[in-house]
Amino acid sequence: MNVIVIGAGLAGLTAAICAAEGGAHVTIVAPQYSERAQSVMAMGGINAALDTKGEADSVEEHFKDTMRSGCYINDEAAVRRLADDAPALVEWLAGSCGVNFTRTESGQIDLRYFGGQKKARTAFAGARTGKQLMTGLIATCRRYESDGSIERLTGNSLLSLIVTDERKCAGVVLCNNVTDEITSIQADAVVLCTGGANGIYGKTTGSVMNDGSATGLALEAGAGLANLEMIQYHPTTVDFGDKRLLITEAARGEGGRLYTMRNGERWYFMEEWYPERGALMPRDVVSRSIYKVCNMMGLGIDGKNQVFLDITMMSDEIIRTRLDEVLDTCTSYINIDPHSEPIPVYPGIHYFMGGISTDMRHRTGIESLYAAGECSCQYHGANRLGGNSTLGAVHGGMMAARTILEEVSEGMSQSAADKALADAAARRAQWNARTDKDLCSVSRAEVLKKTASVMNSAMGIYRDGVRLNAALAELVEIEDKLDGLSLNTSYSDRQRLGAMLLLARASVMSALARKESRGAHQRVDFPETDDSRYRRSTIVTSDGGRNLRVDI
Amino acid sequence: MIIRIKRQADSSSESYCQEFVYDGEKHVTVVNVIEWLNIRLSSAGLAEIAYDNSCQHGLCGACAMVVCSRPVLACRTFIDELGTDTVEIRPLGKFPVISDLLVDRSELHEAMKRAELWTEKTTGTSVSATCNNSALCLMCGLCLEACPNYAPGDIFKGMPEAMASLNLIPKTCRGEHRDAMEKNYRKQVFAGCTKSMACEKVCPMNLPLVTMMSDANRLSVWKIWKLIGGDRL
Repeated sequence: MNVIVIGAGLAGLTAAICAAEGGAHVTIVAPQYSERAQSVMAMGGINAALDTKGEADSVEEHFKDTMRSGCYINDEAAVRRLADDAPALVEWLAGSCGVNFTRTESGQIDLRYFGGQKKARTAFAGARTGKQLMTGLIATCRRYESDGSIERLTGNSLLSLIVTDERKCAGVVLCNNVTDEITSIQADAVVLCTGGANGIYGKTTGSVMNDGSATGLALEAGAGLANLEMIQYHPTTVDFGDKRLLITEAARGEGGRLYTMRNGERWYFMEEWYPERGALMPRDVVSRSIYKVCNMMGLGIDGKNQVFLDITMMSDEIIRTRLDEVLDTCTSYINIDPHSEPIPVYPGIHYFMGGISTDMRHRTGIESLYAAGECSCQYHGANRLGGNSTLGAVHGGMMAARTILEEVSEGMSQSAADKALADAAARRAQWNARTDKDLCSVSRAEVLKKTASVMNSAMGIYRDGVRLNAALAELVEIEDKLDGLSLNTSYSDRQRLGAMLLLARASVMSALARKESRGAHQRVDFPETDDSRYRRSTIVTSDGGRNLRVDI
Repeated sequence: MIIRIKRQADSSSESYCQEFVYDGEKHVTVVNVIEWLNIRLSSAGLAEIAYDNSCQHGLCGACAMVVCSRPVLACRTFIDELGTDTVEIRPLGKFPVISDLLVDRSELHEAMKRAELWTEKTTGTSVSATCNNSALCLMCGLCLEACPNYAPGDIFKGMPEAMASLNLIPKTCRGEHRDAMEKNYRKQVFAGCTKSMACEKVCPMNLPLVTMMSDANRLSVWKIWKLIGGDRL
């Protein structure tokens, strides 16, 4: 059986390894090697009710915490399976992939506390859990690469999904990122593990590789997208260059305080508003509070969108040993010494709970097409728990592979792939024949910048119908302007841009359709949660072209 | 500020140097400068500067290149800290150029495969700091760029292979596979290293490579450690 995995991060590698273990031949397609995947940036850990700390933790509690955090629009059956499987998955990562988890003195996998969960449930590997998980999975994947059961096609991006008239995915058309050369591969199953939609928002805490184009292409091909309005803002990020650099939650966990200046004095607003947990309230609450201070009360530091995160009360030893990453980010990128100066922070986009809609077996709306990891939607609902992203990615990859091994039958005909390649080549020939008069006056960079600005102003921490409608109109205008015209860019970049714009429009439509406030989606014009109408997912589908519809 | 970049359309083209004037923000990284230039190149309808870029936070190793003669990660290199008004940027010299600053580092990954550096279906655990640190290697290639012993196609594979050996050997039971990994380490790392330790100076993860090398040697080279049971990390 031939399986194609698009994406080489946590979800992609797990899917590839599990499929190869079951006897499939796997091709991993990615723009860069696994070491560059956004997964390596994950710091915190991976949740599993291993209960090595004797707190009587259980999979039931993990399930409940995940559902509560997701405001009950996550897939209950999928979350139950996630919590049930988590302990065995972490044992697999440790015992079969050689991940260097931090251990207790007695040799058990150590666990720590994470936001939104009362039990210590987060397994971790020093300060860089994501990197350690990836190193383990890469070394495991290499075993299958050596015997040829896993192949890598690095340097390529998805150009389109091959979908037969029977709505069955039969492979992919790819484009080489440098030569712009088009190829197609026929497959019995395809798994999308392409990460979040960072590209349509410009500055996020994640990798620039995760542009969201594959999700847009899945929408175009007929897969539904769910809960695109659910975006997690990490409360403490620092603005730098083309990015928002993350200041880990551990800075507050170790005692860091948030304040702004009011009437010439420090005002610890989180401690005043939430005396019990202060700055350690869940991420969405902290983000909304900082937003209120800056935008509704006009009390941002220096009149800007920023408040101070203060860790100056901590000893040098704590800062150096437990917050070395914070120290490094501050001193090298923003020239601030956190020993003696407060860190200016503001919420930044960190994670997309929404994405390609899948069931608990990670099937999408298209037969033989599966999705896992941040590009997919099932586990996190309206808000994700820290430590559940890495778990969701690994679990999703495993589930997708298992489902494929169980239900996909071999013997895909080559004809669909041949036809798709011929079609793609014809469109490409058309593109090559373009003349200057077909050229659009704007550049790709300008389109992306404009799109990001529209998305950030409408899809912020608080949304309202007026701004969302205006954004929708602006996005349609951008698409119309580009329609039929070429950009002065590579063919693959142009195709990806179209898919990203479609995803952007679908996201705004989702936010408009959910006329309530829930978790990460806060509407000032609909401030209440409305369980009777909206305790379910928004689903965007396309008619096979650019017409989108949203259902809830 | 003058930015001088060594460019090359594709692997078979001649390389040339192109100069740009940069007048954007001062405390920015080389990645920010390249992005700044690319926006302008793209607006002018010219070919953007090709390079690898992903996390922009020093965590993934994509943007390894040579800036002012030093092998660095571009996203961790600040132009106002280089002490010059002319910033020279060129691709890593020990890997084939694909285009501009984009190089083909696939040999790093192929070498790991040939050295049988993978996990067994059941692996042991190691809680040593060395083992932990070794797993942090970014496979960026900066150490090989600085290394006086490494040359493309040579049998010596340098620190990336040493790091993977350190992470995997202690977790693997004694037997054929472990012997093979140890033998490959002796041939492909130990035998070729003249201990200049230039690698430690340029490692973007600040890995203590001198100490780690001695740990790796203890594991795979010196039989005496095996006799006294000290070959476990």
